[in-house]
Amino acid sequence: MHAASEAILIVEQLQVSYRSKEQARPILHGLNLTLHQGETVCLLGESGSGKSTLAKAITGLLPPSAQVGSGSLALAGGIAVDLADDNGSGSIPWQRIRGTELALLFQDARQALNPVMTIGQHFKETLLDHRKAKPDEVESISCRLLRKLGFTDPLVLLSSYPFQLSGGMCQRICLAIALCLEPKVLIADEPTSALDTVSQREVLSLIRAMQLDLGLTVLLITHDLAVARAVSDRVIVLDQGRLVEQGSVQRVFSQPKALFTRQLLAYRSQVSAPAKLRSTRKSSACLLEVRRLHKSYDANQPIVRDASLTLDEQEIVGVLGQSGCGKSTLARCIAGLETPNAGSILLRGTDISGLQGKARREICRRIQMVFQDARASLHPGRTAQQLVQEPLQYLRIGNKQERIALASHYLQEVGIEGEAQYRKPPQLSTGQCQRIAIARALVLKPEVLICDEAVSALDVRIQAQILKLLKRLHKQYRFSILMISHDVSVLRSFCHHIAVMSDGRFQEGKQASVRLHESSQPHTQLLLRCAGDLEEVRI
Amino acid sequence: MAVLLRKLMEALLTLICATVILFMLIRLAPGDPAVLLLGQPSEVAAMHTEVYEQKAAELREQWGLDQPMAIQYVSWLGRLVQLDLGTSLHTGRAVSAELAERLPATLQLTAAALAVQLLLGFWLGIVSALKAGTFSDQLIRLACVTLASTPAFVTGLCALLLFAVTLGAYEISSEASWSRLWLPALTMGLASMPQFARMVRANMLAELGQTYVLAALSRGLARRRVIGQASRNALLPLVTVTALSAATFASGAVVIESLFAWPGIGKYALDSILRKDYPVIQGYAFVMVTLVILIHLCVDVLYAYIDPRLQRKRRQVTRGVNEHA
Repeated sequence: MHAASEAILIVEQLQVSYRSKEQARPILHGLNLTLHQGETVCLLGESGSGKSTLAKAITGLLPPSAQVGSGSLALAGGIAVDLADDNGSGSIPWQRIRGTELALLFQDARQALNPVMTIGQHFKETLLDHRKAKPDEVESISCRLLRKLGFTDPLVLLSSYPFQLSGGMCQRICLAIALCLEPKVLIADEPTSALDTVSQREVLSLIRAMQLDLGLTVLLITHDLAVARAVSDRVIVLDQGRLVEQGSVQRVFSQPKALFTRQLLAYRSQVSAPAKLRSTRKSSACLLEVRRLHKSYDANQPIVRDASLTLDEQEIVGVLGQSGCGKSTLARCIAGLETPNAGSILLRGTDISGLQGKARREICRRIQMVFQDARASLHPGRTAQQLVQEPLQYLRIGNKQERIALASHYLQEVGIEGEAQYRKPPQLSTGQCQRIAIARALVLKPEVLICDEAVSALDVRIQAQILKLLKRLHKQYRFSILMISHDVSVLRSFCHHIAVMSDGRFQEGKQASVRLHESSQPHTQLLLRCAGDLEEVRI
Repeated sequence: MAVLLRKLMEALLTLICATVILFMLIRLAPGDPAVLLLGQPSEVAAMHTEVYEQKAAELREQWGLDQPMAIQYVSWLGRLVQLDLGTSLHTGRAVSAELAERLPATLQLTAAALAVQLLLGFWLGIVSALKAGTFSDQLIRLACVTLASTPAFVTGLCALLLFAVTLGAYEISSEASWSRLWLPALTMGLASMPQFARMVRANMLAELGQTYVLAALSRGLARRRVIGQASRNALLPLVTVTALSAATFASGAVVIESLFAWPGIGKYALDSILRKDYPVIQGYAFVMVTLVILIHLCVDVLYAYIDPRLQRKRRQVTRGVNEHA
């Protein structure tokens, strides 16, 4: 539909590699890319496919370890940049291109703002440095933009610091700051990956609205198929630094040509397929019961209030909620990482909430947890074998030979075999790290496994694999799972029951996941609608 | 305000604990101050033993040395509040007056040394962070390691030999004048500069790796401005380190002051320790403890002003957000 309009950004033969001590690791292999005026192009790829490197390369922000082999960038208005030139952009300084021609949005918006500067100061320096406004106009310009992006009280925002704002608000503010220079192309690098579904929808619809309003051209970089489908006109699929497919969003999603795209779509439907879980449980004895749990770090702001939940034997229960709703704190209380202020946690009828010392250790054996950031949850200097043996050593289970045998057994169960068992986390992929974390949790034969956003940070392919693995292990070892996530589709495909949390409370007690859409609770409705918007409806 | 009050109370408590320790330590040290003041009996051949004993008893009574420890402490503390630090056993003058004479020289030296450390350390730290891994970075690292591993008195002696003896550019005397300040200040500042420079480098590298630096560059801001922002954030945590060095300088000036014959309170304290002049030693230690506590109090208050994250942590902004439609 935009074929007729003029090209606004052309990248040709972009080759980038990262130098390490031994060799150069190629990231992008001669990539060509054209953006047309006013279109939204989605660059879709897994982590490590080189999509962020592309964004940094065309804004000249690559780290010193990166080497541009070849590549040229042409922008509207006859600006041509040789990206392989080490001295920046040659004749035209990057400062004139960045901000005014190309604007960039980052994944973690809060990190993208200087923590000791107010929002107003960010606007001010950006506008004044480019001489886009006089000092007395700065406030009115920034207020106007913030209002446009849905903030009703922009003056308060201008005097606030980034740490006082939520992630979603920060991303909208970053968008406003980017837009104040009236750029021609907006490059958004995973702008919503760190946000929950509700804020995600908000930010995406704002980007879309601004694009229509200002005639922006948007290059949206994402690994999320739902996001790509919801907002883009054209999709470019990147696999290991090579462009494998491009075409209109309808064509790519309905008739994918490349094998890689087909696989990607298949994994997504696997992950989000509605549950076909039959309750194979014979007894439904209550295993874990959380009664009126209360946790706060600051008396005025309770994180979890009056939360009650039950988990039966061999049951998989999902806890759904936006970020900051207290679901992770709840999980940490159950795992014993935090002590609740009030309420009780009963494991087979015994209260475990305030246990100390030896009794606490025994609970460690029975309740285990898998965290979101797999790599960060593993000691980087230990091998997979040592990592899985660790809890056994701590709880003094078995002798050395038995521990090695147990660890190998569980590592094989999760698919870490042979020589990989003797590698350390930095030498393993994120998916492999999460597998090790699962093995480490299961080696103690726990009765309850808590998964705190255990698949949220993973690519859809790895996500599908890990979920499949968890399902198989659940069937084989018959433990119960408490799955915490902000992703409705993951929970719906994986859990028997789902409970919805918001503002520290359970808005909705657990109910069969297949019936979730029948819920009358407004908050559940909101979460479902936002997820649904991303799934099916184009904003 | 409540926080400030709590900090003040904490500081006061620390000060009281310090005075107790300080009082006990010195009184329990071996040696009789009366004997010390009069000289050893064997040395005073002209005096009869009875007369000597009588004189010593008079002195003990006069100084309150024969009273129980607790009473000595309370009366000492009472005078302390009125800034009466007692009278020097050696010179017979008020300790507060003696200290007040010498304190300015020490503060002058401390401030100058701190300036050397901050300016040089900041500059070298930022340069080596911006040029990390290059030849200049290696060179700065080498210089820092060399300086850090040389004791201050060695550096000082070398400096004296070079500037005073060989070049004749430094006047050797025992007065505190601006023209004599630069060499001891340089020696002192250089001794603590290396660790400061290394910390600046490490913090600066961490800041340069932050996303907000990339984001600022991506908005087309001048590189110099972005580096300025990053270096400000890199320096924030170093305020504590600076306060610690200021305290070390003020109290640790003994060696440098003796070496350069700088008439500060460090040199005076050293002489008094050799003479077992209790009131002076106590007075000196008291001044130093107060100074260090004050410096730390200032740092705590300063932090609240320079780092907005500390004072506003609790206030979350939720206004200005539209309702989810």
